[in-house]
Amino acid sequence: MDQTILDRVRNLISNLMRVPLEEVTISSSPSTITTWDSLQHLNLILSLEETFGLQFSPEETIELLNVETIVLLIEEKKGA
Amino acid sequence: MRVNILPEPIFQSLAAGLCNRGMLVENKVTPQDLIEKKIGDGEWAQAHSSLKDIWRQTSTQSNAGWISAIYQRLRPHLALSPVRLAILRSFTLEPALPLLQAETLTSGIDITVQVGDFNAYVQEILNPSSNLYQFSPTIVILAVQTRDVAPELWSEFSDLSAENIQDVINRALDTFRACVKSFRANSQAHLIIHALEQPAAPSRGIFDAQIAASQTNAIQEINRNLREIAAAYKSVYILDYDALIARHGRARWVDEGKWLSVRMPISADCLIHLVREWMRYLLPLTGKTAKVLVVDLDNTLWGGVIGEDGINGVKIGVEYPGNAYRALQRAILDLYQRGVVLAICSKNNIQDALEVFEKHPNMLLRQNHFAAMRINWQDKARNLREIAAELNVGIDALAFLDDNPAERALVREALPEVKIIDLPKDSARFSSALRESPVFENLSLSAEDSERSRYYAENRQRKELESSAESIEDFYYSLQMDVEIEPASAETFTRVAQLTQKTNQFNLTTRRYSEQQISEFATSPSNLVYAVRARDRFGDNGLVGVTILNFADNFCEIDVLLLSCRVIGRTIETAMLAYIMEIARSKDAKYLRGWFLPTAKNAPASEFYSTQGFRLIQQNDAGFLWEIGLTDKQITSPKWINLVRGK
Repeated sequence: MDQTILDRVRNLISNLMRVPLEEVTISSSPSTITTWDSLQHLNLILSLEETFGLQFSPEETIELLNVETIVLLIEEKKGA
Repeated sequence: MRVNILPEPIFQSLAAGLCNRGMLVENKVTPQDLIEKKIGDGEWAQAHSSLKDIWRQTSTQSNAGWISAIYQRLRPHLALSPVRLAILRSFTLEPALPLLQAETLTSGIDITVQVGDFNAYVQEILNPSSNLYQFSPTIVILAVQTRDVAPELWSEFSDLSAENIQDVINRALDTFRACVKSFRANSQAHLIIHALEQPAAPSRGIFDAQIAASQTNAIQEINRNLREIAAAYKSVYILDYDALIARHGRARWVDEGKWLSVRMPISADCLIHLVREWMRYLLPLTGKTAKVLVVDLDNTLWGGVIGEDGINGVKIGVEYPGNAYRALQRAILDLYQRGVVLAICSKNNIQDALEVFEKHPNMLLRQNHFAAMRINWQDKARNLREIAAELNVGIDALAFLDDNPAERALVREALPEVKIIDLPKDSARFSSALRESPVFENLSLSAEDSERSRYYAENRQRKELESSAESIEDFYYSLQMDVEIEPASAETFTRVAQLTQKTNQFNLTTRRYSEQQISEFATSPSNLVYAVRARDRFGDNGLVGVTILNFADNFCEIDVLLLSCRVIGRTIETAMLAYIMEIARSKDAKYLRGWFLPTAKNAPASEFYSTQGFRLIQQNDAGFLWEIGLTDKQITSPKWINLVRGK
C-alpha cells in the first residue's frame, strides 16, 4: 500500500469528518465514524477526485467502503 | 511540492519580507503562512485582501476549507455584511456550499445558510410555519431543474400530444405562481428563482428546431411566463440557468453519473460557476457593486501610447488592432448607459490625452462621458483616492480598468477595497472581460440610474464654470437654473420616497418614508407633498428635492425638507423655502415652523433656518425647533433662479 496516498486519504477524511487523524485507520468506514454520512461520502468522493485528479464511476463510488479499498482503488487508477 | 498560488512578483516581495524575519524556509512557505503572518501583525484588511486574491486564483474545495476557517478569527475585525440565505432545491448541491462560503467571505459578505430538505421546496414555501420561514431569511434561492419541475417535458416528451404539452406547461406555471404568491405573503425576503434549462439533446433531435410544438419551445414558454410572474412582485428575480449552462458548455456542465448515483446533476468543476452566478445576485443585493469605473488610457482605451505614437499612431478604429479597443469602448459606453459613472486615471501629459478625445474620429468615448479625470504623473493610488473624494463616493465604490498588471497589483496592494478588473494579455478579449465582470450587476434600472452618469459628467462642467466665475453670484446666474416645484403624484411617489430614504446631508429632519407613506401624506387633507426638479444649462438633474408640510391650527410645520447632495450649494433650498411660505400663506397659516434634528451627516443643513431669519423657539435632546411669522419677513426666491410653480 502506497504510504503517501494512504496519508493523504487519512488527512482528507480527518478534515471532512472532523475526527482526529490518529482515529483514521485503514479499516475506518461509515460504520466506524459517525460523522461519515452519505453527504460527507459525496464530499469525500469530490475531494478525492480533485486531489488525485481522477474520476470515479458510479459503480466505483459504491465500492469506496473503507480507507483500505479507497487507497487500493486510487493506486489502481493512478497506476494504469 | 511548492504550490505557486500567488502571482510571482507579489509572492517574491512577500517572501522577501518573511525572509528578513527569518521565517522563510526554502520551498516550505505556504499561502497559509503568509496569511498567518498578517493576522499575527494585526493587518486585518491586508489579510482579507490576500485571502481574496488566493481564492480568486485557486477556487478549490481544499482552499475553501482553510480560507473559511480563517475568517472565524478575522470576522470581529472586518465589517462584513450579514445575510441569512435560504436555499430551496430539487437536487443535491451541498458540495457547492464550502465554495459559496469562501466566495462570500472574501467578498465581504457573512452568510448564514440553511438548505431546504431535498425536493421539499413546494411544501416549505406553502407552509407558513415551515423551516424556511422560521429561519427568517433575507435572501432565498430556489434552485430547481426542468426534470424536477416538469419531468414529462424532460424525458417523456415524445409521449406527449400537443394538448398534453400545454397541460404540463400550465401545471408547472400554476405551481410557480402559487409558490411565489405564498412566498411573498409570508416573507419580504428577496427571492431568486432558477429558470428552466434545455436538455443537451432534444427528444426529437434536429426536428425539434423545425416545429412550433417543440420541446425547446415548451420550456421557453414556461420561462417567459415565469419572468412575468416574477415581474408582478417586488424583489422576485429570475436566474437564467440555461444561459449559465450554455456559457460553460452543456456537455461539460452535466454529470449524468453523479445525477444517477447521488442526485447531483452538476459536475464538480462547474459548481464554482454556479456559486459565482449566485454572487452576481448577492453583490447588488448587499450593495457591494461598483458605482464608478476608472479607466486607464494608453493600451486600454486605445492601442499604443499617445505620448510616443502621437494622434495618428494610436490604434482605435474599425480595423484590426484598433477594433479591439473600440469594442472595449463600446462595452464601457454600455455601462455608462446603465448608470455607471466614468472617470479617467492615466499617466500622461493632459494635453496629449485630451487631444485624442477631441480630435480622433474613431473614439466612441468623449470627454463629456467622464465625471472626473486625473491625467498626470503622480501615482495611481493617490489619483484614485482623489477621484473618490471628488465624486463623493467611498473608495470601495471604484472599479479599476488598466491593461498593465503592475499598475493593477500596485492598486490592489495600496487600496484593497478597489474592485480590479483583470484584463487578459490579449486585447481581443478585453471587451468580454469587462462585460463578464460581476461588479456592475444591478437588479433594477430606473430612469434616474440611466441618467446618473450623465449628471456626474455634467457636474464636472459646472465645477469648471464655478472655478472660473468672478463671484459666486455670477456663477449662480451663469448656471441659468430652472427650479420646478410640483405636488407629488403617483408617477413621482417612488422617487420621492427614495429621496427621503437616501438623502443624508441637506436633510433637516431625516425622516425616512416608504412609497405607501408618501402616498398617504399626499392624499391626506392636512398634508402637502412637493417634489422639486432642477435643471440648468448643463443638463437636467431630475427630481432632487422634497418637502412635506403639515397644517394644524394656524401653523404650517415643515415635516421634511431635503435636497440631493448633487445640487447643494446653489441656493435652491432658498427657492424652496420661498415657495413653502407662499403655500403656507395661501392656506391662512400664521406661522411657519420646522425642526432641525442633527445627525452625523446633516451638518450642511444646521444653519439653514437661522440664516433665513427663523427664531429658535424650542430645544431638546432631539434637536431644535425654529419658527418664523408669515407676515414678519418675506423670503424671496433668489433672482438667479427661474422658479416654476407646477400644477
